[in-house]
Amino acid sequence: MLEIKDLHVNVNGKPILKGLNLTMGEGEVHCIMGPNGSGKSTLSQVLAGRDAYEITGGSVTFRGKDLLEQEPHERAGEGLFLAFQYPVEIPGVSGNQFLRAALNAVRQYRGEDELDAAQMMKVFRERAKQAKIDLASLKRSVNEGFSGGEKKRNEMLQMAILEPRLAVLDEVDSGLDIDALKIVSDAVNAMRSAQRSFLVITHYQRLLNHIVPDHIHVLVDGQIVKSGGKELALELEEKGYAWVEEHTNTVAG
Amino acid sequence: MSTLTVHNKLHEDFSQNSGAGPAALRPLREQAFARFAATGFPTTRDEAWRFTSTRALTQVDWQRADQQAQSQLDDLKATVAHHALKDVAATTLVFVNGFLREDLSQRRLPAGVRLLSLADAAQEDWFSEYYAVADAETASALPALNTALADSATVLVLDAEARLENPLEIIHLSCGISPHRATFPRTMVVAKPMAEATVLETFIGSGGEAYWQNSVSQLHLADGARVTHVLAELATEQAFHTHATFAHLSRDSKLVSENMLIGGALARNDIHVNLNGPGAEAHINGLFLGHARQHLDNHVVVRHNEPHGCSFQNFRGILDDKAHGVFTGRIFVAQDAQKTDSAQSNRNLLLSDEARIDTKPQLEIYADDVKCAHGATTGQLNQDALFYLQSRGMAPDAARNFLIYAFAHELIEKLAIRELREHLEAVLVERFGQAGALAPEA
Repeated sequence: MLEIKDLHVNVNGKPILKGLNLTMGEGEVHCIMGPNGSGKSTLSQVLAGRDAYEITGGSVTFRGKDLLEQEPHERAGEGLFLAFQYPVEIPGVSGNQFLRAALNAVRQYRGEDELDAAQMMKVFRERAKQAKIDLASLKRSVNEGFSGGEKKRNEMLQMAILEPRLAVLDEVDSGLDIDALKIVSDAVNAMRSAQRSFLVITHYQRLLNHIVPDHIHVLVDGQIVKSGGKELALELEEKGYAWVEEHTNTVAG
Repeated sequence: MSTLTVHNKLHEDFSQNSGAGPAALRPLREQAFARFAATGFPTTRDEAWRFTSTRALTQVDWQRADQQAQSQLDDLKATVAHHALKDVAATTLVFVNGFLREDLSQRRLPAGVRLLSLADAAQEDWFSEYYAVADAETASALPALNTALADSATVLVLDAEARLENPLEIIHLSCGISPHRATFPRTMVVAKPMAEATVLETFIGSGGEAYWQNSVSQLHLADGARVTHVLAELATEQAFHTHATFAHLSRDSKLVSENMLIGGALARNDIHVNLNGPGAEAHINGLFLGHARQHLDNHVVVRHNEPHGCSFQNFRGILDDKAHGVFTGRIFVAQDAQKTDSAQSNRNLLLSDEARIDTKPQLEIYADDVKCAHGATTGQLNQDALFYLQSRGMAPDAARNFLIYAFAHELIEKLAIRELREHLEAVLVERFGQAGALAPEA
């Protein structure tokens, strides 16, 4: 599904990712945890194709193709979805218009017929129901005036409708109260399947009480320094990131 | 005076035709033509025309367009059908080269509204006071030229307390093969107390030749009247269009003025709103979309003459290629107009390095207890939003068009009448929809 090999990325000339390796299989849920500044958000933005990042080395293969060669919209067409940490407000168009344009663009990329407004509505209803998310937000302008929780819920709704093969969730839990967190994690859990993988990026262990990952990786200073099963989260919570950092330094030293 | 020597045909036209038409009009027309003859076309030395040169306009010896349009009836019908409001049982009046065409119009008038000819209107007691007022209100003599040469007019009188559900639609079409054809469309809406109506005026042209429409719309709102006036300027890109709207608002009346400038090599839209009664309210919104070498100028003057009035201006410009946009918004608050609440916003999107916008607020306040806010911003497309859309599958061009549409659509989505909103959305989609999977909101 996804294979990241020795990825090096600079931001404004400064190395942020320093040889990151990660392999994910189909249907797997991986979690990347790490302290502030470790490169978590850089990784998600690089995967989605933001051009402000300079890739200085390494490779990313997604479903057998070179991901880094592809434009952002092609990556979406291939089945990559990024749930943004800070979803962008787009006043002037409704969520319906936005998602119709997006789904038809993705369908066109995949060689599928475009859907008309009535067919779209049917698809939206089915998928929203499956992800247990209310459709009412689609009548409003995209993210405009949404609370933090509404924005994240809207990202999940977009994910449900676009049906990606790999969803990267960038700090989808930050700033959410427990109710909003439950809605978001219920949506993710409802969408888990043997064909769909999730890369959950978070700062907080709390999210993993709701979304139970298959693998946890600890990102420190641009590298994955420790990987393990879900029990790693508990260890991290108990001992803190400092423990991993220390541990890493000891190994490196 | 050099500008006038060129305009022989308009002079000839006036001297031949000034005797025609209702007698009551004659002195008004003569005064108006004398005004134009003395003043000529505005120049960039006039403060109100600082950013807009009429040079190209003055170099043509304009001639009144033929009444007999050469176009085939089927072509005209198709053009009108393309631009007319869809699916709404509205009255549609179609003027071709300044003349009402019964065969293209839907004259079924709803109860509560009367359509008068210029001759009939001239018999009304309010006529001479209202008709000439436009000429005096602006330093430019272009409205006066309209008064002098307009042979016909759409005069809509809304009865007291009439409430019209559906918009009244007026389409002004310029067609023919003469590259020097000029028309002088004139509209008057006289809303009696508490009347409510929406009037849509669409200006279109056909053919690849240059033409000129010099139009005037007058809106007279009696106490408590509510009028929405929509101007859709969809001229061809060889055309010149100079328009002026003059609105007079009595006590507690409300005007909504929506203005879309989309076509024209040169389009100038003057909007003069006078709040002449206490508690009057004006919303003046505009969207101007320029590309290639289009020049689109919005000139708004709001005069608060009485207390407790409010006015809100919201204009948005989108300029690509070498297009040049202008927004001037003048707010005048008289000494007696205490408790005035007034705001003005102009936001612009520049899509190319060579596109240009001149935006200028002008506040002139003589009362001491007023709110008067204004702001203008000019910027490019938001990179974060572009990336967001691309990450959802939209190709770069489609994402760009989607954002442009969104920026423009923000003004339209607030329109109360759904059919009108959809009509204007369709205009936007036609302009920006091709590269994206954009569809109007269902």
